[in-house]
Amino acid sequence: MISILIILVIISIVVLLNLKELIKSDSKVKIMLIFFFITGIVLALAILIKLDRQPPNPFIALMDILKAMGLESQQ
Amino acid sequence: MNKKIIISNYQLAIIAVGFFHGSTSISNPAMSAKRDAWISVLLGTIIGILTITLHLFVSKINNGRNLVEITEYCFGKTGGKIVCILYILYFLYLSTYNTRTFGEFMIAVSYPETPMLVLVLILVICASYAARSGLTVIGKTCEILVPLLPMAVVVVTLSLLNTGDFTGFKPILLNIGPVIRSAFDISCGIYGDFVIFLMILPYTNSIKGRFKSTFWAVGITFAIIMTITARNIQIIGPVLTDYIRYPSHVAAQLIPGISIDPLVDMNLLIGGGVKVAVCIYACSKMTSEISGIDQYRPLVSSYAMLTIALGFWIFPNAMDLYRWLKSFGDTVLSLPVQILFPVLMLIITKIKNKKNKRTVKRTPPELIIG
Repeated sequence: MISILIILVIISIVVLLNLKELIKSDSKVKIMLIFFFITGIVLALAILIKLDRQPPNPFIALMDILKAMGLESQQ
Repeated sequence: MNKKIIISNYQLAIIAVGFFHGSTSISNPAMSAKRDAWISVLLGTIIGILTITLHLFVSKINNGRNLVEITEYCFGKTGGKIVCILYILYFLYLSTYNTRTFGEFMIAVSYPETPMLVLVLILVICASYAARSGLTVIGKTCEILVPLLPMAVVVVTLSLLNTGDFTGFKPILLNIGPVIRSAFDISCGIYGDFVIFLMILPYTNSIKGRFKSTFWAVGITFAIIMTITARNIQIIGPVLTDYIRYPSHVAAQLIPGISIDPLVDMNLLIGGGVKVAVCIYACSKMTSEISGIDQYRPLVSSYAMLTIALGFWIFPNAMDLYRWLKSFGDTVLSLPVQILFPVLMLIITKIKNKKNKRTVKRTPPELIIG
């Protein structure tokens, strides 16, 4: 629980630090949309990792596919 | 397409040296080639020069366009944006990989008690500060820090160079497969990432100088990697080099009477920092350009956070990172963005430029003037 709180605090600090620039930008809506979309992904991913419920790792899947194709790792 | 010139060609070269250096100073770029690692470095550099020349030509014939503009010119508005997103994902992967390598190295070698998040945060905060401040700051920072990289390598190498026995390099080319494989790893993992400089090249002060400074950077990087590889084979031995995760650090520890292994850590901090800064800069700049936003700076911190989060997801521990490094995954991810798309861009731009020239020739001069 404390670690999730720390994540929230870190992300809030980053958002607060950028808030001035986000509000003052000429294309406010677009930049906020992208910024909060990426920040949302970070938050979701961080919480899921902390709860040990992260989505399946795409790189492990890629390595398995390569292995199935006969492209084995180096020895 | 006239862009504001932000960096000199000297700064371009010095950023390129720092970028190529990345994490190569601590890991073994040609681990599978064992005693023939130096041949892999040589072959890898030759392939790398070809790749870099391709990227430089793409930039040259596009006459001042950056990567986003080139992709839009070649693949159309929608196609270009899709290709740009692929590039952003690749650059994000690069920064994640380098951040994670740095964290794992620091935990394994210098700060075993410190939480990984703290170490990674330090690197990412420094890198994102440089990326936020822009190319000029990255260039000027590199001017000060990057010359320390070869210096540290020279100090460690000269301190250990007291032997005249070179049997570690023999027999040569007993097994050719791993040598070629390692050469491709070096080419893709070090030189091929130069594709990111398509976002930087248009902001330098001369086209001719770009070629010269880039090839100088390649030469210096080659000298550094060759020195590191030859030293590790000579000092640690080809068999042990294959099993040790950080041979350069072990080599630095072998120097009697003095502990200069922090020099190797410093190398990683500078090289890794430059690489992460350039990657985060490119990701944010590309995102802002494809979505038509005037500012890229607020996106830097969000991409920096994403780099850390992705690192903990994709490479949860050192073993996974090591497994990924030894697999073909990196090469498979690199080939489309480093070779395939640039070749397509080169061909399409050539065809389009020819068409445009013909149209201009056919148009009567009075219409052109009018």
